Amino acid sequence: MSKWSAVAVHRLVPPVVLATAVVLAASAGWLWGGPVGPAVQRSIDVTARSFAFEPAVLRVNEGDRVTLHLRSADVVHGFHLDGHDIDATVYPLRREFTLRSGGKETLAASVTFVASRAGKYRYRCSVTCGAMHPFMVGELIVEPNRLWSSTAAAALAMTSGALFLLGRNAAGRHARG
Amino acid sequence: MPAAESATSARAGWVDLLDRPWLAWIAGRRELPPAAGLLLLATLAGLLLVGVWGTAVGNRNAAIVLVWILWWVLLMGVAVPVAGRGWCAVCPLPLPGEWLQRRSIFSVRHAGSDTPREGLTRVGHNLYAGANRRWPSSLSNLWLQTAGFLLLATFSALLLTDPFTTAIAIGGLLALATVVALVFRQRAFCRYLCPVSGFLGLYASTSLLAVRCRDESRCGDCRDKACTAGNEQAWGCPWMERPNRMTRSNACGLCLECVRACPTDNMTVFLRPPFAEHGLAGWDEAAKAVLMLSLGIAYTAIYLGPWGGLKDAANIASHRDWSRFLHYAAGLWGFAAVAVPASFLLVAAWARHRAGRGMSLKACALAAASAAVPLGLAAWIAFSVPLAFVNGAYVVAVVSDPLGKGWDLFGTAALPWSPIKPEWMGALQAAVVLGGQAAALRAAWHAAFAAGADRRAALAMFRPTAWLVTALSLLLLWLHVG
Repeated sequence: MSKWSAVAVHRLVPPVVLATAVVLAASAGWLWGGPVGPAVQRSIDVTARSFAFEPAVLRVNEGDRVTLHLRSADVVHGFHLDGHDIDATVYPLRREFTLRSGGKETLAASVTFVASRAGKYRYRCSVTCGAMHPFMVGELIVEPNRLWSSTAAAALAMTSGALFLLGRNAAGRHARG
Repeated sequence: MPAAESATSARAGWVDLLDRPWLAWIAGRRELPPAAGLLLLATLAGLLLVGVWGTAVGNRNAAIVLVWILWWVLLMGVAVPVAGRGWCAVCPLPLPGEWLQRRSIFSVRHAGSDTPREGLTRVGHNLYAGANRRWPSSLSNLWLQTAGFLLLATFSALLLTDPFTTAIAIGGLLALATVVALVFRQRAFCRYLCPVSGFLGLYASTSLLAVRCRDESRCGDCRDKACTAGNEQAWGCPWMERPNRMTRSNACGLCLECVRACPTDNMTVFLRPPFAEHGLAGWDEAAKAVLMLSLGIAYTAIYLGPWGGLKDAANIASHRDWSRFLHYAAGLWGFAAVAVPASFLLVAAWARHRAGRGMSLKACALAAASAAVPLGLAAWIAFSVPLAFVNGAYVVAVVSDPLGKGWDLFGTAALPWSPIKPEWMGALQAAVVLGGQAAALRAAWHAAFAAGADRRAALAMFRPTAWLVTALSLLLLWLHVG
């Protein structure tokens, strides 16, 4: 191997090793995903008010059958669930809301779906309701939240790996004097 | 001093863009930036009118949608990472003042021996109208810009949602820029007052484009320094920089006057790898970097998070409860201007203790804060992702009905709101944050190595910063995908 290619390899090894460690950690985080319970049926009341949803965060397990009863506490709000074919218009003082799903528009008192895909999905107001309307969001977390566990693992591995490699390099140079 | 690049030979991997004749031709066309500026100024004037007279519903008013969705997303997502301060080259805010100062839009006013002065002042080799005072040296830093941005951020809920407030704020900046141009030299407003310019300059160190001289030895032989002082072909650097000696991009507005001025064709635009510059020059830059990162985190929590209490407290326009708002402002300032900066200082103090060897707290603090530049940029880009994916549909609708009065100029006013692939946002935001973390670790290491006496001292300095960067990255990841 020529001197220059040896130098190139020497320079490439640490970032390649680091990248590999990060990918491995992310993969492990993705596969583990965190603790998750058995799939159950859940019935949840969600109330929209300017400018938040209550509850603000819904945690369910993958496979749960989730029924949402949508209400409005003040004005007409929307309810759009990212990644799911669910959009609704919710009226104050009324139990029923206009549901748009599956290409149809119906009047409904609840909407049921199966949380078939793990991850974090936001539900948003889809009817202009006031100044902070664009920021009116809630979070549906379907465990195991693999994206969170894998990226958190990647972040930790990145720093740990960098410190390890830099520490070894510094120790090696110190030993060589 | 920040370890930018120390010699021409350090530009390994840099591509001289103006070696290409067609790019050099474009760069030489001095009418192009003011032409773009005129168009943007006309657009801005229209948006100010729309903000004042249009609907108060933010997502139906072009002043809100085109400024805080379209412009902001293009700025943070494209313009800043690619061109740093490139927006400054066409920004309409300073243009009326600059044109009044120069008494010209397209041409150059050279201070030749036979040029009538007409009451104009000579600065370098050009003539300017106005008082042309030097900006006070005590204010020649980022503190005013940092304070201005923090003030705007405190009232951001009002600014981002109320068209009238947006119009007043932008109109106020336009008026201020014009007045400052008639009192002080060149682009003093842009360099020392504009709140947008403050962070554009900070993040310019990460960008792909950089104006530099091709051959430093040729600059050494140059007597006129037309890049700085101007000549018949071009104005002297309006940013009051010395382009031939630039090693950092933080104050370069990419106006390319120096490229047009140089008589030996020695100034050019380089395409370089991202995050090519490392290090911060002073406490003002460190404070700005840390504040921008803190506010990026705070904005993510307040506007993208599910916590209605935060939004309620920020929404002074609706509740008008000043006591509640002041509590919110105190919390925001406490987090962004006290807690996070204090954590960087603590890390710096710990790093100084570990590194020993007479390291100054300032050197350790600047090295630590250098990590806040790429991580802060990542935080703001990740924050801007939902603006594009979720609120982008409003742009198409508002083009047909800019005032929200029921028009339908192009048949898109009734387009229903629908987010664009929102399920992709989390992965994209996480990728941006992780990329920012990687760049932050690299920046912190380079800065520590430049400040540290040897590799072991640098590593001792780097360790606590690395863990602080990781903690902040985990916080951002949790806010976006956790």
